[in-house]
Amino acid sequence: MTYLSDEPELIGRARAGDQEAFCALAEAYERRILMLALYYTRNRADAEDLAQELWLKAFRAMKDFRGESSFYTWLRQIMINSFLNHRRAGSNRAASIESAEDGRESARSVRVFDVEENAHRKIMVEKVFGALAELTPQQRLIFLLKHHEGMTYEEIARSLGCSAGTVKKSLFRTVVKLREHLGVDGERVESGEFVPCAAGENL
Amino acid sequence: MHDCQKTKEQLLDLIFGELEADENSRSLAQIERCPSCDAEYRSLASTLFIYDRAALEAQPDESFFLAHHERLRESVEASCINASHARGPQRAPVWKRIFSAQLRVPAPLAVAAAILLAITTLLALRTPRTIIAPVQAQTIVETRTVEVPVPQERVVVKTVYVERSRRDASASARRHIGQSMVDNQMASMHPNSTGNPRAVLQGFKPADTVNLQIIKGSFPR
Repeated sequence: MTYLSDEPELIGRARAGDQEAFCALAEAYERRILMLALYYTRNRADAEDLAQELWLKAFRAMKDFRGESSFYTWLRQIMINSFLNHRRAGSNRAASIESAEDGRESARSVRVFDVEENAHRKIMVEKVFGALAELTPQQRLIFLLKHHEGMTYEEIARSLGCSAGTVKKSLFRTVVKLREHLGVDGERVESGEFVPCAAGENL
Repeated sequence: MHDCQKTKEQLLDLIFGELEADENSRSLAQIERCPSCDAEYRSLASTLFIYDRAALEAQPDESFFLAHHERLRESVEASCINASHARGPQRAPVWKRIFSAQLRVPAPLAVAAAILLAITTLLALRTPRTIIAPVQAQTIVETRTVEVPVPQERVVVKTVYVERSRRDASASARRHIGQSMVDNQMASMHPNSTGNPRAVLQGFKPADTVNLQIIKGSFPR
């Protein structure tokens, strides 16, 4: 987890309305938040909007931050609420991150990957994001919180206001759905093509 | 005894690190013994592995994050400006607004109000003022203990010796005077009584008295 040595000081200044201090704090966590938003929305424009909205909410709520938890924990709770409340017209558009970005790519100078170089990678990404698109927002959020954030069942349950059993069931369904979409079969697995990884261990 | 169902139920807990250390090693031992559980475990873990690779591929390049940070900075700045605009321009203090306030009143009503105010003021000025007694200054009693030397009283008795002849003479004179005084008193009480000649204190002189000087006062120690 990112840790700023002068985080307490920055928090104090940001609480007093210092924009620079808040931007310095945001710089430490914005990448992580943006990636979660991207996996959640599966669309860069939506992820960008969602992340911006989240940071503005956090900036306005800074004076209410009492330091009872870490800054990131507090920020993550804002993020969870923002994600659940996220509504956007036409949000059910194509799940593919790449296809959603068509036409804006050159304008933003943003490139996910070179399609010509590796078509296989593109297919894999589309499959994964296609699988995520089939999940409910809550299932998707639970999976992200568990797999990317490494939160425990109990922590997720508390954040979402549900039981740990619900979290566990949701997680199981998500992984099974992902497996179906990716077409992972026993033979390929047993041949040692894939290596198991632990939760939160992003490659 | 190996229970496939139970082991498979725990697979996700194992993958997501939700098991305690001893339970973790027990589950791994169970998986090693059962090919079916092992295949399920590998399948689930590989799914997550593929997901991670895809997620990594989907990561935008550095310019996207830089642009995002710039937009975030602009948004925060704009939010501050909007907030200050929402608060509006600074309003004058209440007292200033009261004095600068304008109220449209019909002229006759205003004149009547002015006359009423003037009369009320005059009446208020004419009424005698109650005299308020000046508040007496509160006396401050200060208690202080001072050691003062107490004068010691001493009675001195002086023995005086008188000659016997003079003492007898004075004693008879005193008796004579005392008798005269009694006679005079009796005469005044009974003016018509006959017999006793009228005694007066004419020519009375006090006998030689001895002046006893009693000295009182303090003496230095």
